[in-house]
Amino acid sequence: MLKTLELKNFTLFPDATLSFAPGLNVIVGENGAGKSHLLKVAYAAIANAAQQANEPTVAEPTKTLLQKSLADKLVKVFRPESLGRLASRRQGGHRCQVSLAFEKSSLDTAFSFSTRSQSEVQIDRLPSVWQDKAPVFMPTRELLTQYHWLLPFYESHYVDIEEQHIDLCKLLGALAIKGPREKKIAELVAPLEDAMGGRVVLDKNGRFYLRIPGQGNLEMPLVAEGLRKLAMLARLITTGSLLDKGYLFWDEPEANLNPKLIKLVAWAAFTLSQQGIQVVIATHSLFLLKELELLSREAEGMEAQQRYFSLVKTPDGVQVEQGSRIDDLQTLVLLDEELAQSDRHMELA
Amino acid sequence: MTTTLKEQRLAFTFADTAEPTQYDEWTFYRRQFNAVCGGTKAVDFICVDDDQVWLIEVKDYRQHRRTKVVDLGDEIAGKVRDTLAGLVAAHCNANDAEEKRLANQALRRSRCRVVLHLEQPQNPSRLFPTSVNPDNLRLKLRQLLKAIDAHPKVVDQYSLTDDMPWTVTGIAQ
Repeated sequence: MLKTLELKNFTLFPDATLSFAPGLNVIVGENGAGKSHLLKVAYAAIANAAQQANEPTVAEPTKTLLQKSLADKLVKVFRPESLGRLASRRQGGHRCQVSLAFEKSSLDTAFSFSTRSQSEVQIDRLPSVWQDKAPVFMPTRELLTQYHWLLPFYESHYVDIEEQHIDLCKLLGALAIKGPREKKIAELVAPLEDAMGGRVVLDKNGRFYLRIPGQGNLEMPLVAEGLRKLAMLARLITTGSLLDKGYLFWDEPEANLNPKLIKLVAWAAFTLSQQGIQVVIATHSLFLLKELELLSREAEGMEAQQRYFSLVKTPDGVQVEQGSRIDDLQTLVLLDEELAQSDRHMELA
Repeated sequence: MTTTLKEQRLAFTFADTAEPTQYDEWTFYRRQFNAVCGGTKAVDFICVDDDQVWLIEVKDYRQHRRTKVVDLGDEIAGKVRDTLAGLVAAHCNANDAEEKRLANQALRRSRCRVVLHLEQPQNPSRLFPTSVNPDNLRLKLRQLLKAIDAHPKVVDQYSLTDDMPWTVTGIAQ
């Protein structure tokens, strides 16, 4: 479980410390306030540490190994022209520092780099062990329809696609889990399958299909785009990526979905967060926020399990407000805009 | 004996156990506190009941359009803040003995409750079944007034809750 993320001079953030809850974490903020940057930096560090553990010749963490692999991962996730572009040039500071503290302190990692860094970071704190499970990064768009060509293409060509998409494809291609955990998987996946009207399957031809009872397999490109996002989620649960423990970084879960499906997505995020998955969501949707609030009210005693963050643009860069309840945040642009619209309606009514 | 106070086209009838007052009509507020710091605002009613003091602001947009000065949430929050300051000042400085006594009573309660009584325009559309979604306004008030009342209420005459010692009826034109 990620406990805190500290950023100094990293992209839009001059100085920010985010304290995460073990369960559900929700980040709000205007476009360009850095929500995705937060998800990506935490994801890159954790994903790299999980990747190293799965290398054929797995080695203990060393500074030499980490300083290159972490820099490489950051570049592949953010795709800047060079690593140093991620260090902000504000406030005269030329060095950017990032540190991640985990519940298990042997995972703690800190690194820094300058605006001139190309391919290496400096390791300021070396973890003594690797992450034992790959984190999941859910992008705004679905990937099931691209799965069959994207992975082979990426492995044989130099393409600038953000690597979290490739990582996600790998997780989607994992095999479904068999055994005692199947019952729990079925419970989690059932509401998603109800909404999709079928089950996600990976055919031998390397393509995903929606298997609809009585109708056979429907090609994924023929399934509604919003439902394909649910299909990705269902697949990640059945393959164990989102089961028992792990991390889910989810960028705008509401994208492409109607409110009926947003309600389902909120349920899924909330339920996963209660099953040991640390969920970090970035959202623009007041509807999604309200769904999450309703779910936590029903569950009660959720304050310690949840954390809300508002990213606020200021002349000195982006500042972070945070608290264990949505009303701890002073800046909620998405709420203020709704109310401003109501005011305009009342002036005309 | 129950007390009935009127505000715009609404009549508020308070239970005999409660002690309501039309704060924005107080002489102390009108003659003295209104001018403090270049101008202060006031909620419509204060009601002392049991161990709580209710601050009630009434907005009735059924007949008259809202002419926007500031955001509704900010407007209410500002009135609540100014009223609390006014009560403290009245407790020390009010010339009217009754106003002084009421301020004193209000300040001795252990819980402060904030209520926005909002009657919305009556020409709904599909996209705006109500002009303001009360949930949104409630969240805004919670955000602004958490240290005063962590659970402010937004109600209309049909959604009053059992703990409110008053009823509301519309007044015919």
